[in-house]
Amino acid sequence: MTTAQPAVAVQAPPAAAHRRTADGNAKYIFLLPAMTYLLILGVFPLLFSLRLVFGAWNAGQKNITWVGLDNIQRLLADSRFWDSFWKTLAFVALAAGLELLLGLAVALALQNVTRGKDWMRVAFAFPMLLPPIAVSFTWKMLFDYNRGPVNYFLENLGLDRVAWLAGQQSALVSLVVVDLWQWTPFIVLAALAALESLPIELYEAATVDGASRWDLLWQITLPLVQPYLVAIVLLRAIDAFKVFDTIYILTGGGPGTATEMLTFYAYVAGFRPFNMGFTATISWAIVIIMSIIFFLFLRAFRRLEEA
Amino acid sequence: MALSAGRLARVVSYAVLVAWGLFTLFPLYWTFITSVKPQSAVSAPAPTFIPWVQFEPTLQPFRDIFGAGEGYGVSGMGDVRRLFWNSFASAFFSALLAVVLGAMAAYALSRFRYRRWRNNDIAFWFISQRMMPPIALVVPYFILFGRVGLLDQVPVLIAVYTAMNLPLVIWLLRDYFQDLPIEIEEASMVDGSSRYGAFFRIALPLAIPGIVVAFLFAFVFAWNEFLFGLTLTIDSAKTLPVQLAGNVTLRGPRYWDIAAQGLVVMLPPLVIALLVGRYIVRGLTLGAIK
Repeated sequence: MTTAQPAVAVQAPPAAAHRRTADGNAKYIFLLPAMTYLLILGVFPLLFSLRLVFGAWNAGQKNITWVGLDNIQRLLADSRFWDSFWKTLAFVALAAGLELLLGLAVALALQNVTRGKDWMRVAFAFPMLLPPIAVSFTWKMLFDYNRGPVNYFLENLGLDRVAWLAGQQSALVSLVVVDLWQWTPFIVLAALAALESLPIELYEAATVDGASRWDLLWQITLPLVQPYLVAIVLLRAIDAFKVFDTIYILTGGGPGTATEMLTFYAYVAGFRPFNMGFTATISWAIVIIMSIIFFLFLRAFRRLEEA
Repeated sequence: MALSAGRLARVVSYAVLVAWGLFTLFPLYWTFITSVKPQSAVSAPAPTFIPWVQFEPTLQPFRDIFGAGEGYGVSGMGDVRRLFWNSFASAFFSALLAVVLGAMAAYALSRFRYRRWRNNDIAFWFISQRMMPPIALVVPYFILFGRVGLLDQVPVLIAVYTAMNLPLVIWLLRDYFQDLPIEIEEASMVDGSSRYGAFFRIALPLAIPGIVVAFLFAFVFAWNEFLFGLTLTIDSAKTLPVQLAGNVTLRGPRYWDIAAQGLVVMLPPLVIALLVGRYIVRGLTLGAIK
């Protein structure tokens, strides 16, 4: 490609050469506004908060005081942070893992039917578009210990009521359930798109060779969609890591600190005792963790594009 | 007669879909019926499910939250008109700005070749901005906007939401421009049209459906946003989700109010989903899979 370019340039007529210089400007005029915008409101604030990692700032104060490595040392020694870190990992693994299983099952089912497929795809996508705050309130009503329908159903099935939002473990499970409800559709839609992109000839050939439907699923479908699923589930994990709204409404991080995930802890540490330097430090820890997951996603995604 | 493997697979598939459909729709149904329940039905010991049979539906909760009923003092949503305007303005104008900036950048990425940074690198830089945790921006925004006296103002929310949605808009529209035929633009440029002419007169009109979808996405995500709204507003620029969060934590389990208020905030995204759902399904996967 690069070796061919000089020859093309020599042969190009003057009009085209002129056009290229015109494009030369347009190239930047089209791209730079968006880039500049994100540099100012995305990259610059992030770098500014890096300054805060080594500083302290209080409301009304004009400048940031330099505190060196204090925030970082405090973070590394902070058991509440490490607790929160492991809880977040558990939440992300549980939510993303279950969403992958359920989402794949629903996507396979959707692929298997013809009638109603189009409108079901749309109806299943509804939860993703709704405000997480409103969704959280809906689930707060559903999970109500005395009058919620979830416990009512459990009792009718002969099971015990569960204190969904008040128990150490059940509160975490509740948050996972809400996440499942709102975001499994993401996996359904993405996995279905991947399934529909598989070459149909392979299936025809295998069926001719006498493979059963079960064989087809395990020998052909799953191995072929597996690289897509890796990219999809990493994308979902990145978003699940940012969980905040549902915690704010449903548990407030409690009982105690049982559901205090990283973003929520960063918020609480910054805006309740008002310590912006420490919040910035937790935030940067989150940025680093997310960058690692994003890097893994990029690798998975590039592999897909090359295939 | 035994079921054939194909029949069995279809039966299982429908069973899975019905179960998932019920799981998806029941919470919405519950919110809806709770919003039209009288207080007595909500506080009854056993939950009720069927309007007219188990309880007599009422619009009282909606009258109360909008200030027309007697219960306004405890149930009122506050200055609903202003809250609605704040949410609407910050979502609408940020979506507009994101689409303008985004369409240009997406067009550039699909039509020009960049050398020092390759096109894919630039595209991934954009999408990496979408992956950043919002909490990392909360503190610098709070301090920086506070310094210049811009906290609690709708234009700040517009600016922030634009930055939040821009990467997604670029990602979606880049796909869209790449699928448009390039020949018409080339022909027009051979006929003496400039690159700008080709963009505004040919590519942009052809891309309108994609731009509308990207706009709706940006609108919905900005409408739903909570963390920035919570930290960057105090009172006069407060958005609906922030008000909702505050209201209910203060008042405890007045579920008829909660449901009615939640429904009001859910309404615009629900309407968008119902009207144009099938066009935005693909965008919802972030175009991760083509």
